[in-house]
Amino acid sequence: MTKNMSYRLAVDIGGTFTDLVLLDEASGALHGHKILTTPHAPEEAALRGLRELCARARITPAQITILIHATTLVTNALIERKGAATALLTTAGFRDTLEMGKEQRYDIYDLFLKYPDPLVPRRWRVGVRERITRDGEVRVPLDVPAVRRTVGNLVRQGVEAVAVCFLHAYRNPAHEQLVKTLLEREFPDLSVSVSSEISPEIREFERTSTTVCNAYVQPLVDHYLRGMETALAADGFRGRFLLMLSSGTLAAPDVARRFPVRLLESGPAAGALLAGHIGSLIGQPDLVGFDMGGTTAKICLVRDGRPKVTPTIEVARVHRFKPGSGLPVKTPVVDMIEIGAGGGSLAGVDSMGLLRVGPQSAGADPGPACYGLGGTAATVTDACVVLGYYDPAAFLGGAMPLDAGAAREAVSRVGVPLGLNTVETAWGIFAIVCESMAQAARLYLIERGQDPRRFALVGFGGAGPAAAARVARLLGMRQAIIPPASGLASALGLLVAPAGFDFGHSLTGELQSLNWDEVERLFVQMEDRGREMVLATGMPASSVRAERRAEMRYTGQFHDIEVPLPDRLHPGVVPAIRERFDAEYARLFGLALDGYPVQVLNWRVLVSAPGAKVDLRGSSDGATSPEQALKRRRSTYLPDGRSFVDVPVYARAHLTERSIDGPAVIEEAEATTLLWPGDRLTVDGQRNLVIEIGQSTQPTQTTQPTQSQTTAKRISR
Amino acid sequence: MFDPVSLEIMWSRLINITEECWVTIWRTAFSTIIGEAQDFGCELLDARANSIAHSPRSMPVFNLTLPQAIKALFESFPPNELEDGDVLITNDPWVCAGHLFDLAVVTPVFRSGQMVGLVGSIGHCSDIGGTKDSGHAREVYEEGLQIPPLKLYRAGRLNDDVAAMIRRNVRRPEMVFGDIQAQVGSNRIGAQRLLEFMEEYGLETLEPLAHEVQHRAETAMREAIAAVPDGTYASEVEFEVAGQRLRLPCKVIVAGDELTVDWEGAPPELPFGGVNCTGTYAAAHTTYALKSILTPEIPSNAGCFRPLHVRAPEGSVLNCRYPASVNQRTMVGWFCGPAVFRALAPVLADHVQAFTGLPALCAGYGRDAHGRTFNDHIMFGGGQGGGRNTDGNSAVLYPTSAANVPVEMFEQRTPLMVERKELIPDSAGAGRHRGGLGQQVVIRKLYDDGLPVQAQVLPHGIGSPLEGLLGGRSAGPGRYKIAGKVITKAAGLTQLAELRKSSDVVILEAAGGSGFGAPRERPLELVQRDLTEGYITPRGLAAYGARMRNGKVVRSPMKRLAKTKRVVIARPAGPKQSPVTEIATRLRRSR
Repeated sequence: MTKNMSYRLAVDIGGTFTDLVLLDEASGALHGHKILTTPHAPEEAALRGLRELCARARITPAQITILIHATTLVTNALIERKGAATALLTTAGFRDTLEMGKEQRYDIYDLFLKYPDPLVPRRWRVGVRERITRDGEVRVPLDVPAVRRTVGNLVRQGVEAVAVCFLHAYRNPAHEQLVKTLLEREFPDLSVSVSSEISPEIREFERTSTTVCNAYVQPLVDHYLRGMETALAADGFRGRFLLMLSSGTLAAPDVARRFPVRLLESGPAAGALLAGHIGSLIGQPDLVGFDMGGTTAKICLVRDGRPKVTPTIEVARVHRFKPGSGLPVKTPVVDMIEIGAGGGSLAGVDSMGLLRVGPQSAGADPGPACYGLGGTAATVTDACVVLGYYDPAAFLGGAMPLDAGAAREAVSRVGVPLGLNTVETAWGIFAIVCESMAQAARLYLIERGQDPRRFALVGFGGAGPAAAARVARLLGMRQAIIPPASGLASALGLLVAPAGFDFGHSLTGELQSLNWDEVERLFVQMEDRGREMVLATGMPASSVRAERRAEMRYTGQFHDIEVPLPDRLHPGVVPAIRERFDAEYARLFGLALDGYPVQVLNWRVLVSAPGAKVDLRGSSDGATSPEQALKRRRSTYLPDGRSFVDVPVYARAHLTERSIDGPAVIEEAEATTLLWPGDRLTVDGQRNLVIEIGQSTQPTQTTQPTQSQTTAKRISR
Repeated sequence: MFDPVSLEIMWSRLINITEECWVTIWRTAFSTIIGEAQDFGCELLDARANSIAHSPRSMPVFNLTLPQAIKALFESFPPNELEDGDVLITNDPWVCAGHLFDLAVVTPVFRSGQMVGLVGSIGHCSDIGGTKDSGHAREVYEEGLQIPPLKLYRAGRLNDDVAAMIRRNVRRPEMVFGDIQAQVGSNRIGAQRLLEFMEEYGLETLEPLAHEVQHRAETAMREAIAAVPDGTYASEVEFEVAGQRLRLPCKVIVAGDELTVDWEGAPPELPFGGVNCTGTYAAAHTTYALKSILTPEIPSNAGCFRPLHVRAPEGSVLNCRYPASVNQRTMVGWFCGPAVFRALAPVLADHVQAFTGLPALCAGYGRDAHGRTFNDHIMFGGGQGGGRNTDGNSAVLYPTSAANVPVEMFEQRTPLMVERKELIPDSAGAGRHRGGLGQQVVIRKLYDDGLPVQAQVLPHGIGSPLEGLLGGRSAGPGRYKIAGKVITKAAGLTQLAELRKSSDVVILEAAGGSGFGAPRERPLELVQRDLTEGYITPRGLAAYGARMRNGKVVRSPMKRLAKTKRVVIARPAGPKQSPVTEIATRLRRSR
């Protein structure tokens, strides 16, 4: 125990595991802990973990000054439909907007596609007489007595939360505010979410959906946070309790209570922050975060040391990987794509006679065949065992031995109809899963106007380190980086998160003829509210900054691009903004359009204070030399020669800064890193594994010697 | 030969390229019809214009007609005379997508001086000139600018003559040309990605790869057809268009692993109203339905369609002759799919769907107080038909792949106000699995500013409720009502109205979906749920052979089962003004 009593604790509650990391601010020492999540009462595992970790570090909860928390509570409540009994008030004539959605079929050949059931059943969706025009004028005044009557009825039927979404409320919130004031006064136990506060942006379906999601999870989040705060206080915790928002910023519990929908995907957002943090530590601000777990892989773009933030996310999809099959939520969220490619992804043969991997996953139960928990289908993990990438005896540090025979059997069954032997099939599974992640990453980056070859890949999560070098190679990247404690990456990311809140508001106008006073007033309002929120997290006023952006388009277009704005707005800055817009448009779509006027749709501002700089070297010990780190050699499949080769296996903890040439396998408790021929690994000052990707030519996944040389040769960069 | 691993990887990469093209058009478009409603599609083809892949969200019919359009472009511009940087364009309804609005924009892709493939898209432009009063057009000449196969770009340079000609002939030229530029830009991105892909894999030509994916898709389709017992399956659908009832007989002939749809007996082309389908368009709607029934899970390409054949008599409403009017061909063409479903229902009951209520559309056109022209669309869907195992979804756009247009977005672009957009209770066809609900949309002129707004009203399925499948019942028909100055008089056609005052309104109803299976077999608890949620009213119980007793839904004796509704055709209301709520109620009662 140090004399300085300042500790920070990060708690990330995930679907399967709850990860905790304790940082000793004086020494920089990090203590990690991983325990099973308790789905029925997630705070239980969190509190138990906290106590166990404190005991291990020999401190008391009173010494923790800041506790930072990320949780899947909101995501799960939406997927599992465990939220409150929620009603929706709309403009009369629009009670079904929520159910109709976009009216679009997300798969044009599927006659029987399913959409998520609306969170509010039709009987609890009520139209109210009122109307505001597109220009913000009141056309029909609000029928206040009807609101009172309607809500009284709903409450008698057991409704606990009410969402209010009126047409054009982003333009004039008066009617929504009237309803809110009325309900707060007359129904104080009711949770009320109004669209002009939750998501004041044009497009009624998305705004309604967002407001309803917020109302639906609000009572649950409120209850959960109160329970956490009480329990923490009972344990003697006296510090500040902060929550991770989907935008990758921290906020006080009160903000999370008002905007609970912003807790979506807070864990994965933290992982992305870690990737950004690593980048700044090693002087490489442009990176791609690659987080591969058991079920999915998430890929995220980091520029200037920060993950990109996007204004919309789709949750609770009927088909997890089919856009359009879920509920849209307009909330700033770290821009990630999720691919159905994880260690548990299932392999099989499709109706075209082709090998397919994912998106279905064996999950943790029954799990891959090699887990011996009753699963018989082949997964990526099984393929890794067959190929010698994973040591069946050393999985999770030896805590969970794997059944190699079961893996081989499962994989060989998949190969039979394809005419492939077991090893060819296993390599096919591994190659396809890497390729599908690389393709998704390529499309994701290209859509954002980025060339994958410019980036380094940061691989983490249970399966990320094994696939990172291969995926980086397929993307033409020169470097893959595996951070220390890669299995606890999200919790680590919480420790470095900035505090802040991201606002957005629709106020549409032509760039040339905007009322800049009005715009400036809007920004000042948002920034004042933001400053208050950031100060509530305990950050000093001097560290607070605001970054303004605008969503703009050529007048008449429907989709906008984001452009950074100067700090103060007035007519004089118009040419500079126009120039930035044209340049960004040209970068994304090839060329700017001459002679087309430009329009602004939404104004956005991030008010934030920077996070802590955390040194990740903390837990290192016992570095010796490659010779001492060498555990043994293992027969491992290499695609170049299509054969098994004896490859050295190293213990990560004992690696020094001397480089190692691939092929090689690096093992640590939660992950295995693979190095291919031509790759070279060094350990940097931050204990990252830095892999320089070999430039060697490698033929494609040639599993059949008869393959034509001209048509199927893959030339890797 | 490709091994199953490399092929899977390369194939999905090609689909990714088309997806990227799709996103580019969507994000850079200027019209509601492309930018919000997404009425376009992107495709990648081999050097002989056979489809290799299309974007998953593409408008189905466009994917199927684009290869035809390119083959026609090749007749004017033989492939060996094309240059790198050329961009071809046409909207010829007889080779492309059936009406002048659909522009094909095609870019040949060159590698080492050889054309290795093509990237193309078809987009529904917001305007193509011609009359707004489509219901009166007798020939395609009146329907707008005809663009024969032309070069829009020559070796990378815009053909200014063609551009000027297009601009002069359309309303809102900057919007129309902005969308065309989005198509050109998307092709450019697709071409670039295709070349990178070929470079990366060291492919000199796409042919072996194209052949392989097409062959696999073809094999899957043949296997699916072979699983259907040989024979001829017939059906007939009857619907109302241009004030007449048309009967469309359909014969599906299954022989081994080949399938032919014969539209013999289709009515002769109609002399006006633009409801005629060109052969390519009718064939595309026919094969689209077949693909959805037979191999919905297989990524689509030319191979899927090789075992499918479509025949329709020349000069018929499904294979009209130049220069018949074709502008509103959906009014007939959208019945092709339902006829095919009905024919195959006895043998493929698990794979077909009862009739889906057809979409409706309204376009507002005029000049605002600042003298600026607006021309924007709002589009919305009906209820989906029931299936063997599922109720239909309510409010789904079918058979297009479009999305609806947000009310707030539409209002921001036109001085019209949408006063209601809501599901219609009791609008679903009853069945063991019922259809989805249709919806009603009420549109009013926003201001009394003396500036007229032309409303082009496109209802579908007017007076044409279709029976459900295997005992399922019909839903109501599509309907409309206009309180304003109606310019077109013919019922069941595109209506053109002028809205002058804020009391002028347009009411449009997209019909619900038909049911599947006998309504009396629907479990009572589902009927009760539908009643509780307001999807049906107490009046709607009879259709399920149910009634209320002591506050509970119970089964009625057999005789109480309601008769099929009598079809009432909505007539234009004339210029009389009345408050909208009243009109809405009356419209509902009249059914």
